Amino acid sequence: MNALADACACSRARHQTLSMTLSGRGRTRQCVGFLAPVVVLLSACGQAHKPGVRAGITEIASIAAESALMADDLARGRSKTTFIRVHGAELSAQAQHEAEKLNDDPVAPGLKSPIETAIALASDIGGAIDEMRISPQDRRQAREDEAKLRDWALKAAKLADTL
Amino acid sequence: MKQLFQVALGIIAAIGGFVDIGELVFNTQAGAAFRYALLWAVPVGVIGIVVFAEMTGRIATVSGRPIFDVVRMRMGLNVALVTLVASILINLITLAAEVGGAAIVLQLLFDVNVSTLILIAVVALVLIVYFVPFGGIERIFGYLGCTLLVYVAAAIHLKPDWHRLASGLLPSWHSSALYAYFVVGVIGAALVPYEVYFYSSGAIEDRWKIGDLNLNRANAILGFTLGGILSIALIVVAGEVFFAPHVHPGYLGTTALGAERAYGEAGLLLALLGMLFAVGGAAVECAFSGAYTLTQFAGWEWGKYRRPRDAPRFTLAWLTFFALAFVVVETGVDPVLLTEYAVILSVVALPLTYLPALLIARDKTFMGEHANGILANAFGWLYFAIILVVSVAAIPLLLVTDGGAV
Repeated sequence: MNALADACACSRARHQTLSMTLSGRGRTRQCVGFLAPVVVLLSACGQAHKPGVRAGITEIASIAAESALMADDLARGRSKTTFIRVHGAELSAQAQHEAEKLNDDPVAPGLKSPIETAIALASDIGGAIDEMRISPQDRRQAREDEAKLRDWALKAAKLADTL
Repeated sequence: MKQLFQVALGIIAAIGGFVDIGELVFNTQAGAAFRYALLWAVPVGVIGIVVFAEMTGRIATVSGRPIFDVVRMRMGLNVALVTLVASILINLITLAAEVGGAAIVLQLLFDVNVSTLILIAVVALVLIVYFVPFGGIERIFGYLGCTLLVYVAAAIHLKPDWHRLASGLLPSWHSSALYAYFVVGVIGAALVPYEVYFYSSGAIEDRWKIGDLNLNRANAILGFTLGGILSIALIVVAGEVFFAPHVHPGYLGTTALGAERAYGEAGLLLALLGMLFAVGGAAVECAFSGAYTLTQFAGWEWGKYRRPRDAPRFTLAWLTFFALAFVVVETGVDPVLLTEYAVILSVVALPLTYLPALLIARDKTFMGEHANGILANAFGWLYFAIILVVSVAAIPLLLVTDGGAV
């Protein structure tokens, strides 16, 4: 992201310098020819890029995988209520945070669909964790949540791999 | 017999006192990301801290002066001032991380608002430090921190691939910045300077004499080595539990989950208790370490063995460190993130303390017959080279990997 920002800043500076020095039709054509890629580059400024989106989706997969482990322990009666509530809250908040980051970044057209899928997954994951936090004594619910979370972890990991 | 008993007590305290939030965070992340591939970095860091601590303990025992006093005396005011500023800054960041870590562990145990728990943690630590004598503080945190041995049991219980585990203890290299970052982190977490300031000043607090040099050697070698086994266990547990499902540990709760996976609720409780006393003990060491460096630099009266009214500026210094750490953590900064920065910055500042210690420990005019022998000098210079490489690489790797996120 920093590299892209630097490129954008650099392009802006070059754009200003060129505007000041070039004149005449030939130079105008030359300028347009030069500026076209600059405009394309500038239009990419601030847009979510693949590695960033991939990292966000990978993080969502990690949260789901960890929550599945927690749910498994809960389903087997091997955990502690306060731990489930507090650590679950951390994971749920992190899932929401990742979804917000993906939602807030301007999106390059090719990334719109995977980002929407990832946001939906993050929302489902956060919901399942919150279910466990609300009723940590419900082992059957925990077992169902574990299966779902495991499935979402795989889906998110596969989605990240496509980028 | 009495000395043997002292050695045993010192070793037990060192085992429990070796692990702090830096080890809990970096070793768990290293195991989750690379399974056993980073195990070799633990012995590298542990041998380094053994070499470093033994030297500074010996200097303090022979000269009656703690390491910071000697740095100022031998390296001059300017070098000592730079070292002082760097160590105080790092101590404060580390202390804030440890206090925040203690509050998080308390929250995982009791599910109470974290701001309240930060206050409770700081008040409890201040009261313990104020009223309990030095040896008692070492034992309370050292012994209770030993419940972290649940990770050693868990590492065996989870049936690791012993062949791969043994291979992981042999140095290897992966061409990734993330791998290099964790090498620096794991080595750096073992080599944090505050442990050495505390250890060398502790030698004077405990009034070690020349006859205690064997005690110093035994404490440094056995205590830190056995403590290193805890670090290895943390990596193995994380490797077994979190590597396959691609979990990226970002919370202390994740480290605790590793013990829960092995032993259920009992494992979780032992892990949380051990973590609480490990980070609590490290917080005390950091606050003392900061107070030691400041008062020893200024030439003020210092030491827990003195009553507060006999060393008022030392008392005020550690109280101020706790107060500042409280303010930092109450801003809501993430203690795990703070830990990562503290460890990396510690690594950068390490040569500032390590080189003077090495130069003094090998100086026969100062140390007499207790100066470094051939082996200590060889290890000393080898580790100075390692520390230099690691300190130069630390900040670029932190930036390139976005703090281990990439």
